[in-house]
Amino acid sequence: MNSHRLILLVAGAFSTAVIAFGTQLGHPGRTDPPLLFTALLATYGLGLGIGWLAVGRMNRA
Amino acid sequence: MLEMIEANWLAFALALLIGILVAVWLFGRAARTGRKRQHRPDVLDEGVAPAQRNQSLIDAPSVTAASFAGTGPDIMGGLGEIVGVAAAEEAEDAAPLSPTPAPAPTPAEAPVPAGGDDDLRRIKGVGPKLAALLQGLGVTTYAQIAAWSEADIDRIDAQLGTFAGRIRRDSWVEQAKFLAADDTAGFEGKFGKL
Repeated sequence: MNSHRLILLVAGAFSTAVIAFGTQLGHPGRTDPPLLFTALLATYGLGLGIGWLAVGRMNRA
Repeated sequence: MLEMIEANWLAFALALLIGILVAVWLFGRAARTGRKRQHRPDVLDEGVAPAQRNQSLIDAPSVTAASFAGTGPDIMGGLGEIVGVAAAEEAEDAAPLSPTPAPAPTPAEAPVPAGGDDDLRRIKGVGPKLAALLQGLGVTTYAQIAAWSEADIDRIDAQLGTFAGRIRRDSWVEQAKFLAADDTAGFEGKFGKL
């Protein structure tokens, strides 16, 4: 994997972390912060997987 | 877990969207660059025959060949003569320029003393570069400089390049007269200490 792809992946994860941080600031005490961070990063990973599948399907078609 | 997702659904939706976008950007671009086009369709593949117009152009005899058809084998000989005459004329034109230029005239009519070269740097205003330049021009003694006429000064001055005008400005001839006569006192009285 070349560097610009890696940067893009990390940038996506960073944006997700920023969203988690913002959510935590907006609603303090509603959820456990580490759990929210983990869950959002997992969702980001899920999005990556869904996107990968979608692109593969589009290319095959 | 479900409660957490429900409470922060916007954040989860955003994270999912970011993931999908990143994946599409990454893998979609890679697929586009990596894909090779195997089949290059052409109109001929669809059963179209070569255009008759183009075929007639291909089959037509060469225009260049037709132009020279009646000239026979002598045409190249004629061209060779023209080129040869032109080259000879050019060589004649260039001939006067080719001899090496005449050496710079030695300005000094005064005889060179048997004692050898003088140190021209003793003349005020003459440094190592000018001294070397003068030596190159054949000026090596005070007596030569002392004997310069106005015409000699003009001729030498024209060859001094960036030092032009120094001869008259620094009164080389006058200085050289004192130095040639070994009149140190007179020199120092007029031009300062040697």
